[in-house]
Amino acid sequence: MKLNAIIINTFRESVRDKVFIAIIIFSIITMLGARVIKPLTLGEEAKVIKDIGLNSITFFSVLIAILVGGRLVYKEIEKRTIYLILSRPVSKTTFIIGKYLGLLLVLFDSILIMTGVFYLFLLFLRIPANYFLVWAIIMTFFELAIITAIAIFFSTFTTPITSAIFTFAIYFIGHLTPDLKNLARIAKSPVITFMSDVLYYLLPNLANFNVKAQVVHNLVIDYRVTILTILYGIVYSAFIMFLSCLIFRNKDF
Amino acid sequence: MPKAIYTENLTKVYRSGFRLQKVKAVENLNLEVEAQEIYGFLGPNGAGKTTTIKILVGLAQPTSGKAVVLGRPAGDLGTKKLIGFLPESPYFYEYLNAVEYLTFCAQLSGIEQNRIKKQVEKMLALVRLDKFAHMPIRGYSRGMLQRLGIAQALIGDPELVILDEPMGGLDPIGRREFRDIILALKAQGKTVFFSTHILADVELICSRVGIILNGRLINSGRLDEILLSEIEGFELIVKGLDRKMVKVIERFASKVISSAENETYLEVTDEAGVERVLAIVREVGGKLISLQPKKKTLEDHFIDQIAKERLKAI
Repeated sequence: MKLNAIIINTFRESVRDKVFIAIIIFSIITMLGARVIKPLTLGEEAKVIKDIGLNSITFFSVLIAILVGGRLVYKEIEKRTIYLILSRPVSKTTFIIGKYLGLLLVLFDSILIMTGVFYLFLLFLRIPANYFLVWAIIMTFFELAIITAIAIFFSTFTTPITSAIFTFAIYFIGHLTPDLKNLARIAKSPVITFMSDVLYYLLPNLANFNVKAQVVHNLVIDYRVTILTILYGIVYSAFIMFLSCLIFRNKDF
Repeated sequence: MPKAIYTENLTKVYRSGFRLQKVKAVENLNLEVEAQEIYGFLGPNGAGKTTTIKILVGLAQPTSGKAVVLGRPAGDLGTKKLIGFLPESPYFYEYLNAVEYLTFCAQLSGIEQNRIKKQVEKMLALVRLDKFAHMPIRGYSRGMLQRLGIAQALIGDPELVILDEPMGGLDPIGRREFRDIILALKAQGKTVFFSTHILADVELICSRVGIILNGRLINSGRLDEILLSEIEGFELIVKGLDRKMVKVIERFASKVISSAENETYLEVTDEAGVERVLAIVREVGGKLISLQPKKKTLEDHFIDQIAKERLKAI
């Protein structure tokens, strides 16, 4: 029940936050705005609109995860609202996990809203929409689970801006991990090979979560890889949250 | 019955600044608070009051030493269930209203789901916020925030209530209401431990006090004992003495404050002096109107103690 209370409070906090509402509105405007570029799509309107739709869902939910996630724990410490939580019979682990799951609930709901708008828009434009698209969105959600965990991890010991910068950097590099592996393969210097290998295994491999191109172009998705990627997402997030709890456990307020 | 609060050589060292200099916030603090008493924890700003309280409620870990609350280790989840805490100038979630906030607090305190609604209503009525129960906390005045703070501390009927500077920012009416709430808690058999630097409040409601300076407890005990041990003399008002007799008793008095219309107001340093003056008054058929020990006020005592400690430090 205590965990539930923290999850629901985090959800309320984010949903009543103007930043969150602004981001949702922007994402919807971007999706609908895709219609404007019809003359540039050279008859591939359906693909372009699907592509823009899926990418704006990802982009804006990543924005929520990084901006809201990075402030989540810091704000409680800065405003000292945490005093009135941790002076009650609530462990620091419950607090951090509650904050994390609360933000995931927020992301789940915002993705649901954005996806709903996206599908209605496709329906309105008479573009056939298959369930494939949902796969891409589900994958995005598990990618967000990792990003949120990283944002919260940084938020336990740095300021929101630093957390946002670090999380964004990891998000960016996380999408380039296949290149890191290639670099390790072709590099002549053993130091670079070693460094690239370390980064490859240490940083989250986010490129695997991106199946947007496949679903937009109706290519075959390898479900085995997809399931493994989802499992990877869960394990990686759990590990980062474990580290966050370790750091937080020894913290004084 | 176990002591409400017991600390043994409690020490907290912070590292601060770029060079991680050690700062001793609390040093070998030995504190004993009996159950069911109102204990005032006094000290100037930066003396270590808040740090001590943070250790007691489990927000900070001691560097060394022991802290026991209600017979259990401070900071344990089971211990925290029995404590109500109000931090100094508390912040609340502004996007919630009082009902939502207190419900959240009740859930975190582990109150059974079916009792929460009733508890919340009871607390809102106690601090007279029932009319503003559904207004966002964002719109609350300072006094209302402090009352909400008390409500969240008392929810779940804690055995020990710890308040950090509860009177700060309250107007005289608010302070009186607060004192009444604290006295009501004592009547219900609760222990109240509160820190303050407003001494008038302490004199009115505390059974015992502890004075902390530079992280160390420099004095503690019953308020009247602390002050009685420092009687500076006696003040007498006597009646029915003529000028000649006033001259006679002046020899025993350290000071004659006033002598008019048959009434003499004088100060005597010790009890023997008082006896002599009284003997003379009786002999000439005069009357004793009043006899009062001249005590130091807590404020005098507090300032003296702190000055002494600072001298020692030099």
